[in-house]
Amino acid sequence: MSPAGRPLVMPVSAYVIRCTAEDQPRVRAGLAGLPGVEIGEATPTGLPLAADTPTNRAAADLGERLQQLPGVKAAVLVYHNFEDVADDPVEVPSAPQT
Amino acid sequence: MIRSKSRPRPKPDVPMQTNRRDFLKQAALAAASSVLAGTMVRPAHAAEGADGLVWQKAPCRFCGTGCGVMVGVKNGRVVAVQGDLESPVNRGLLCVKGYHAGVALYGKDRLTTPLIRKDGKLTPASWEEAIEAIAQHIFKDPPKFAFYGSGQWTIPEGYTVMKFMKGGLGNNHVDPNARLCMASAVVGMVTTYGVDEPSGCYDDLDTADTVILWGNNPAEMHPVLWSRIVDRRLKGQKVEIIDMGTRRTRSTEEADHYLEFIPQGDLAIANGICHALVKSGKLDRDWFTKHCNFRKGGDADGEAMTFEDYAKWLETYTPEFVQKFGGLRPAQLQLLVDRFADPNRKIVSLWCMGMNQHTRGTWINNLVYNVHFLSGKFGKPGSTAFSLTGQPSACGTCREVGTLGHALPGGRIVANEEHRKQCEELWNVPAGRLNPKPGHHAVALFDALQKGELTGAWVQVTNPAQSMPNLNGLTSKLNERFLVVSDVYPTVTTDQAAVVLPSAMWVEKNGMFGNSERRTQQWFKMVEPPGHARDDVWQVIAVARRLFELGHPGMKNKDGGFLFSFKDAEGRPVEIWKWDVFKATNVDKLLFDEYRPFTLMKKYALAPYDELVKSRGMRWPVVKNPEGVWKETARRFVEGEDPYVKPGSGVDFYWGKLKDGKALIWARPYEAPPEVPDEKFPFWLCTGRVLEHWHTGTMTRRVPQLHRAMPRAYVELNPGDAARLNIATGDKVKITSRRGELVLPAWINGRSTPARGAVFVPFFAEESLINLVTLEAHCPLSKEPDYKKCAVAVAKV
Repeated sequence: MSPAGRPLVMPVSAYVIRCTAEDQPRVRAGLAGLPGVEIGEATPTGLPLAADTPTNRAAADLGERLQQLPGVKAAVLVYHNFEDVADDPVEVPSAPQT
Repeated sequence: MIRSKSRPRPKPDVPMQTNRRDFLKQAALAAASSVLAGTMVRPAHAAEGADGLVWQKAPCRFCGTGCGVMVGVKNGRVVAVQGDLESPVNRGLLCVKGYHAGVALYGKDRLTTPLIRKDGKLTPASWEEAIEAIAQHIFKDPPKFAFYGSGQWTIPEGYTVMKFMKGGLGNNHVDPNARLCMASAVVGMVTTYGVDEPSGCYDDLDTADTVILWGNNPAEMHPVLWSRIVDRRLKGQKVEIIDMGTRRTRSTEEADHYLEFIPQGDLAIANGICHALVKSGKLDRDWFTKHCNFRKGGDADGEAMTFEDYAKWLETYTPEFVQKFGGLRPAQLQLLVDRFADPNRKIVSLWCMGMNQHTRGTWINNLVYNVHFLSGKFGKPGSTAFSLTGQPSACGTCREVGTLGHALPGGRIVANEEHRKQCEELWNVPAGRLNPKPGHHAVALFDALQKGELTGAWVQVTNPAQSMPNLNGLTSKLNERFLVVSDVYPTVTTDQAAVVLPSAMWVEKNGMFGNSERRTQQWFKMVEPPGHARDDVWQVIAVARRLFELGHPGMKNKDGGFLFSFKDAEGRPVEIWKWDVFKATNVDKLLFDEYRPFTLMKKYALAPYDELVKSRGMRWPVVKNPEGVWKETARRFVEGEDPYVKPGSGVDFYWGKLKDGKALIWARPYEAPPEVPDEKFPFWLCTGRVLEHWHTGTMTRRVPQLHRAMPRAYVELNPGDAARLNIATGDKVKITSRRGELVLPAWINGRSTPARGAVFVPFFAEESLINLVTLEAHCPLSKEPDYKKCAVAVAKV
């Protein structure tokens, strides 16, 4: 359960990691430290990756961390399944008036 | 949305969910692998995927790139989004906003019922009450009512409003928010080659040797197009990026050269490039002699001049002049000159609001075309000048349907008697119904509301109480007028409304958009809108029908029938003003079939509806070839690509002002901005957007991931200025102009870095309205306001 007592929501995402073939070993090393990440078959221009994360916040953080990994030119989100999330109340940002 | 307590929900740790999650993860991995390999595609029509979701195509809801999105639906809800591999625009990629387009449907404060202000409070009402209130107000004094729309209107939505206002009420006070973002590009094209919309296309990004950004930050604003450029480097291709700007951005990080210029200095730089090209003789004389005339003057007409006169006129724009007024050192200017002087180099110039929101926005558009024309870098693969658009259908709706005060559908204008006759015939309304006097442009429309010259307005799909410049001067009295707002979430504009109408959004309705590269895209409704929300098209037609019942003569066609009379395939009348009938009818197809003949008159030639259903969008002109295949056009005005080009001409600007197939090279001078920093207000203020939020943030701030990534507005300062003023990141800073003030947290060495003496503030946050501070000064030709430069004071609070 989440701290708020709600059932956990776990978005599933997929990324294309843009990196050169030469950089792929160190990119893989960086990815090895990230939980919930599964890597697919590489091509000379990148790595496919799927991830499930325990929360929306973790999903957003993962995107940032992928972008920062050594050797990564770009981490591009290519699939986003939020069917768990869609049943959960979505937090609306507060936007107080001036 | 509140979860139903009656429906059992699996606990997160039960095996069923784990299996489902594993399955989804494999599906996700397959999707990513497909993007890399370019293998898996989904059909355009609705089809169930291996993951149990029903997938269907749609264009993205947000910017003007026009990315193809595959939308996954389960149990009547959008639950997944994938980039459309079949889309030639994005080839499976989306940006962070696009991937959350589905989540944006489900903010818990969606507007779900009509609201009418009673005793100062917005109170739930029935559709019948709301429609009656609007119709009664319009009926009292139709000429004093206006419509303010959007580049997010679908094509049928914009067309419906045009027919209602101009064909029905005989009232031309219709203008869109697109006036605020691309009007200068429109007038730039019209004055340069006689007709709106670009010649080139995104394909040119794939083959350009050099991409020049003119005050443009595509890394944040058009990220998919940006990745299309930078991904070429990963494939070993050489593509040079030159970033000309007034602040270092994420785009600068990838650039080979960053050329920082003084605000408004782009006018001097473009003329400086032309001067150097002419002086050196490194021109494509054959190209511009064959395809261009020369013109001088500050207005849209100008007068003829010779090349020799033009060369003499350019003598002012020496490297010294460019350094003084543009801020580029001679070597930096020479770098640009060398690129254009190289006959073998293919160059794309890109720009967007940085150049269009400019008190001489039309001129600077003209000048960039000049550079490309003199060097012959136009109308060839990899060489073009291209204005990007910020909204998904600024082109398809505002520019092609013509939802502007002076315009009619299909490139017609209200001031032209022949054009009015053509529209009256196609709309089957009596001769003389259309009003020849142009309506207000956006800023004038809000000025007229402010002064009470207009008594009411209907706003759809936009948020002017946040996005107009100088808000105190233009929108502070909206709550004293009869303001109708159709929207999906509460906004600072709905806060001012007399009537709020809850709208269907994106895939909750049928729709069509037209993107930056003339690509018309169609989608079908996939899920129901929440509560009592209804389509914007229906809202307008329902009000029109009520006016018809009240006896407004404009709501009758020439035969005495209702203005929006349609028949089904069997010839039976379809009463689309009735919601149940509307829901059961593809009204988009009815409207588009009526609209399409307009597009043939200006050779826009949009594809037939059924062809668009089958495709991932088609770039017009779309003409059936001898084999009976509808063929799109990649590059307009180019022989072999554009079917309307005269054989043997190579390039044919067939709408050229002088009717000789030529474009114009304009002598447009440097002009100082209307407000510059001084002792009291020593900083430049530039406003703009950020990666995570789209325009005024009304949708993207409802997406938790995007909101958390960028929760509040800020002011960016140059580190040198911050040190001098003893300001650190997070400190509260007051920004003051002659019009208003705002306090924001400082951000130094963050995502971007303004030039010394300049600050940047994004406009997405309604609690921090930077447009209280901005200046209302607009291009006199395009009427587009300049949000990129005014003078402010900056002080630590």
